[in-house]
Amino acid sequence: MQNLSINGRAIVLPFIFIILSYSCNSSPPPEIKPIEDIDRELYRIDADKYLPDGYLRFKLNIKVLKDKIIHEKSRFSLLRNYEEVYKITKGIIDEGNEVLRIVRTKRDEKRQMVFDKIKSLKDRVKIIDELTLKINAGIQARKRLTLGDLAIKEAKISLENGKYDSALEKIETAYTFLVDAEKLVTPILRRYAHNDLIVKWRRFVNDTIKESGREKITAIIVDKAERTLTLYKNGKIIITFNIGLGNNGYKDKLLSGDGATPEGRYHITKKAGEGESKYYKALLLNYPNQDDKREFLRAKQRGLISKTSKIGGLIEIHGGGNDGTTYGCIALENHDMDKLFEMVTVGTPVTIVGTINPNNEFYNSLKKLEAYLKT
Amino acid sequence: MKRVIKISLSCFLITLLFIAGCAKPPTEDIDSAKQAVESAKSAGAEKYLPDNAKGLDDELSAALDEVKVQDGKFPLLRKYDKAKEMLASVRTNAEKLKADTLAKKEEAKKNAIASLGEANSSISNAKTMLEKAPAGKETKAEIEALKGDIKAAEDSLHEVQKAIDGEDYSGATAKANSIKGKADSVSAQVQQAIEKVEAAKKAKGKKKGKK
Repeated sequence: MQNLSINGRAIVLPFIFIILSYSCNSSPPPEIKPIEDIDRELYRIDADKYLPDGYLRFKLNIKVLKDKIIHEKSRFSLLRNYEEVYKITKGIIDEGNEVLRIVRTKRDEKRQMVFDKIKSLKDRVKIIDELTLKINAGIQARKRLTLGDLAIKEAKISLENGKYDSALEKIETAYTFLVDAEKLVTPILRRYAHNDLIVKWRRFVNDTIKESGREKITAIIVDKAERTLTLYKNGKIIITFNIGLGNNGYKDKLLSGDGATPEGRYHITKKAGEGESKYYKALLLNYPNQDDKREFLRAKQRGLISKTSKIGGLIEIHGGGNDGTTYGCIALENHDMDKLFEMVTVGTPVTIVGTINPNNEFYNSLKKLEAYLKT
Repeated sequence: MKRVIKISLSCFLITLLFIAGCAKPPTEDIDSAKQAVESAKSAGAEKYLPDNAKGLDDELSAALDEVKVQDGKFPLLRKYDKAKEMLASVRTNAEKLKADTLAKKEEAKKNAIASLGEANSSISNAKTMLEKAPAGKETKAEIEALKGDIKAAEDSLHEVQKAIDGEDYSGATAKANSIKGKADSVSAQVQQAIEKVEAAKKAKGKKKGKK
């Protein structure tokens, strides 16, 4: 070296430095695989949805770390120093584990929340199912109930697959359908819990029984909630039959085609024997009476029904079986119809009421539903 | 001696120029790797194989980091060989992921179609059961209600087909399975009603026998 000129040294020294830079290994960069593993797990469990800020901060810190590693790696190996990088790495691992812990907790909470909601909606389906069967609800209520039930089943599948947001969407759909079904069912039930109506119905029944006693005649009382037809004679009960009503039988009849069974005080206008009725034997009632006509006109004037609606008629007590398939009439088993037919005449009073019992089963069902909704 | 130094210097400069001339950032490799990753994602990798898609993203990110490491070095010392290797691996893995995704998608489609078939067959089975259901006074209203339920479930089948047409195969499968579940539960309820009526008939028969 002593023989080398200054120019020669200037050339040789960088050579030596470069060779040393390549051959010397400073301490290696820290292992960032644990961070990548945490990041992958956070991605898998949708950390961006559960803890967006925390996850974003973690991701930014990873980027800062990687930039620092890149910076150090780019330097001559003799000058590399990973001391700070090691410290940052440890900090990020701790931060990542904390984010992971929080996200897992939040995720567990969400899963439990979805699970509880599904369970609660299943109970709701059960209650509405019972109600629709009890009041023989029409196809619209059953359709909504079924669609709600299907959405709950889909929500359960999403829950099992860990897709909680999708499950919540299905729960929302189910909820909408079930509320719709309830809207169709509850107005019918509310009438049976309405005190003023029950008082009116009781008055109808008492007046009819008194009339039967006073006039020494037979009289018929139809109780929709109890699904019974009771025959009175001289103010005393003679016999009670089970009856069937139609799909809208628990509503008060308002117009033609509504399938509802009228409520009020009527009388028999015609007795149709075997062969004269489609349903074995029939007792035609004087529906619509004056009250019915008044209600119909009022509803028309208020725009509650179409102007072209008709009030309808041909409401009967008939045979054919009490299995609940009438369109507003009251159906009896044929053998019961035979007995009744013999004991009544044209002019026999027929009083049809919702209920006279404030504690009737519809009232109890409504309370059950309301208690559920409160919880 | 001067001559030797001059020759050495010339050789050194030529070598450096040669190295510097070769060490250009692998722009084309980067572009093609990115394109391959995008192509896998467009095929639905993030939906059908999310973990693999994330792995590929990380792999691409690591390769790009290696490019950055070399970019940050003294120009004469840059070496992109490792980065190129990493980018080539990303490309290969992306192509594999795309193929796997398409296979997975096809499998999901097959599953959805099979689930639709099963739902259809459960609906048919429930309808057959309902036809032979006892129409007695104790069960008729319930049977009518169940018929309504099956009709609503059957009407929902078109949504499964809609989901299949829209390539939402997991959604279609979930819908089909829920319809199948509903139809199967209706069948079970009808079966219970049949058994109830048969038990009632047997009890009636025994009573008559005693008389």
